[in-house]
Amino acid sequence: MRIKKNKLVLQYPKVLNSDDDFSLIQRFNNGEGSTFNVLVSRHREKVRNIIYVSMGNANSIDDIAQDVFITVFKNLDHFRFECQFSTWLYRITVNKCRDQLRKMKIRNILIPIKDKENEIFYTPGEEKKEMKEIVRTAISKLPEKLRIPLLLKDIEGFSYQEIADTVQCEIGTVKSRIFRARENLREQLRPIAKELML
Amino acid sequence: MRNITKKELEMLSAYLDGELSDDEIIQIEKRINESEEFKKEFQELTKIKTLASISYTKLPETQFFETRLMQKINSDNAFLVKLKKWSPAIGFSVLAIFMMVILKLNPTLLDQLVDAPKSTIAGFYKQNLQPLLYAADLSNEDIFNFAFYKQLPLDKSKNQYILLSTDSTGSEYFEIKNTGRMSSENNLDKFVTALNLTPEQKISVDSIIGSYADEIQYQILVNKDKAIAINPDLWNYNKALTADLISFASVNKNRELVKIMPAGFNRIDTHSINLAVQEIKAAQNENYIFMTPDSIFSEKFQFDKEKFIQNMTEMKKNLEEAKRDLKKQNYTFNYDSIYTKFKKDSLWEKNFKVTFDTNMLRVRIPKIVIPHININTDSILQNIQLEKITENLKEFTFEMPKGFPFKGGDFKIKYSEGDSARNYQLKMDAINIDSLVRSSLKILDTLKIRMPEYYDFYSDSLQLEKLKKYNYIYPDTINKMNKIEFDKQMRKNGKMKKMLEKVKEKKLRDRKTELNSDTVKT
Repeated sequence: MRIKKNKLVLQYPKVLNSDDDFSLIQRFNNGEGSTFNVLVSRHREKVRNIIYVSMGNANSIDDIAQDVFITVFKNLDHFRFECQFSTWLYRITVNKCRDQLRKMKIRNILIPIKDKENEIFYTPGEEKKEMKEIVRTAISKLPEKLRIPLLLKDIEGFSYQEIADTVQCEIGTVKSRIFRARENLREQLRPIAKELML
Repeated sequence: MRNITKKELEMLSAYLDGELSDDEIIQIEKRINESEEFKKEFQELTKIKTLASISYTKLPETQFFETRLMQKINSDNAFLVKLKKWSPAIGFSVLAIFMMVILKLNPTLLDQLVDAPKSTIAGFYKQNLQPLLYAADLSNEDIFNFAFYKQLPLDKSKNQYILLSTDSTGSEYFEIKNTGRMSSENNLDKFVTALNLTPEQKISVDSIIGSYADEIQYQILVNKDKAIAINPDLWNYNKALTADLISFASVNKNRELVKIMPAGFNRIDTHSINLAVQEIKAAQNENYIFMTPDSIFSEKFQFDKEKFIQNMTEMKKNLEEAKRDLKKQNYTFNYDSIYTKFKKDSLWEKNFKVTFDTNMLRVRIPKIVIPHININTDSILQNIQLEKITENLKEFTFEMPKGFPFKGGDFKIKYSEGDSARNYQLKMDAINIDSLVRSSLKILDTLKIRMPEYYDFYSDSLQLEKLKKYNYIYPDTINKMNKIEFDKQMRKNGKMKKMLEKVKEKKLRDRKTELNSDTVKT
């Protein structure tokens, strides 16, 4: 019996030449849809954390995050490579959070029964309250424009420049807002400064 | 010692965040070392920053985030989502536009939709309306009673009347009752007698009544769906007829009329009555009042008298034709030819009845005597109600043709003129088992008489000993014809007779020889 000798041509596995976001986006735009998953997995947790600190609670984080990535998916071909992908992504995230907060604000106006517990975050005799919770409540009382830069700095470790790019304002403004946020926080926490060892 | 400015505090905050230039850092650090108050500020801000940074615990990682995201992306068609969101509004809008267009093109659509069920019901009950009184066979007496007692018989057998009345407010109404208003009869005759009308005048009165009879019968229509349609003209016809009769009586026999009329009655204005009557007769009210099992309503309906009369004429014609066909109907009976021989026998019964309906034809011989059969018929018939079985059967008695029965086997029954109530006696001798038996015996007797002459046939056919002599047996009466025929042949042919005698002699000889041989043996 005669056996044909076939030439075996091995295909080399595709190796990413560059793992930066830009190349992934380019490949996605060229039709390689799977690269989007890489982008998502790379930035997913950061986006979720930004949503967490921006919204002040863990509710519907994943829903907002999915909404963010759907927006990215639909608009990725419009990305102009003028800034970092992460900056663009975080900007979208913050904007989504702002939209959500606005909706919540409208909802709270329409539904007058508020959660009074959040209204007054401390009362005499509440010293035993969890310190972190008190601080979180105090932070949540900050205006959005102060809270988000503060948390992006202190929690997420963003630089002022990154914060400025994300919230779309000047660095000086970021510097000022973060300081004002800290001052506001200090004022709120002054009655229990001793317990907090301030 | 100078006060701490806001700008310095901002720089201190930025110093904490590591966002100052080298010069600024040197400047701030110098300030911290120089001023206790500034140092305190630095420490407090550091604490605040620390508190803020530790107040948020790390989020647990999400599971299957990418999978769910991709599912959502794949199923998330923006257009469909929007369409779904706005679908109720879009649906209502499309419907509204559609209705606007339809109503613009056909403005009467709503009216039609409302009226359609009504007209459907009305149409259903309008079908096949026939004059009720056409079948009631109104007599002149009935019409006369209608004029003066305002009642018409709907169904005389059930004593049902339609009565016209007026209530206390003057409104006219009608009612259908099982009893009439008056009990006296022959009112027309009494009227004629009271007025002492001459035969000619009586004919005129009949003529007046006759002229209304046709019109009145078309005022009440019915159909098989239990709808009754009454034309309000019935009231007018009632008034017109009454006025017409009184007018006639007033003109011809006013003196007698005054006697029977209520007090104060005087000669009436016949001219105006004639005009009113003509007007009533000319007016055709097309609105009938329909009384149906569903509702009572008033609808326009034009009864086609001509078509109805034409239909009735055709129906009568068809009935006549059917009757003629019925007359032509032939019923063929087969009977045993034996009986033709005994037509003079007086044992036949006379009532020969034929019963038939659409499914069967039965010939009944009422006086037949059925010989006893050992079957318990009571047990068979106990569950069958014989009366019920024959309930729907129609019974006719036919006259049989003259000279029946005759030889040939077949005869035809003619359907006589008249109806089933008449009893046509069959002039024939009906089949009777007794006569059959007796006839059979007579056949045998006849044979007995004839046979000895030629064949030495004794007493009867059962005497086999004698018959053995000829070796010739007539097993039953059926063969008798052959026997008679045989006799004829034998008479005609002497040779046959001689041969037969020879055979007989030979047989006798053989018999003698046998006897002799037997004696020799013994």
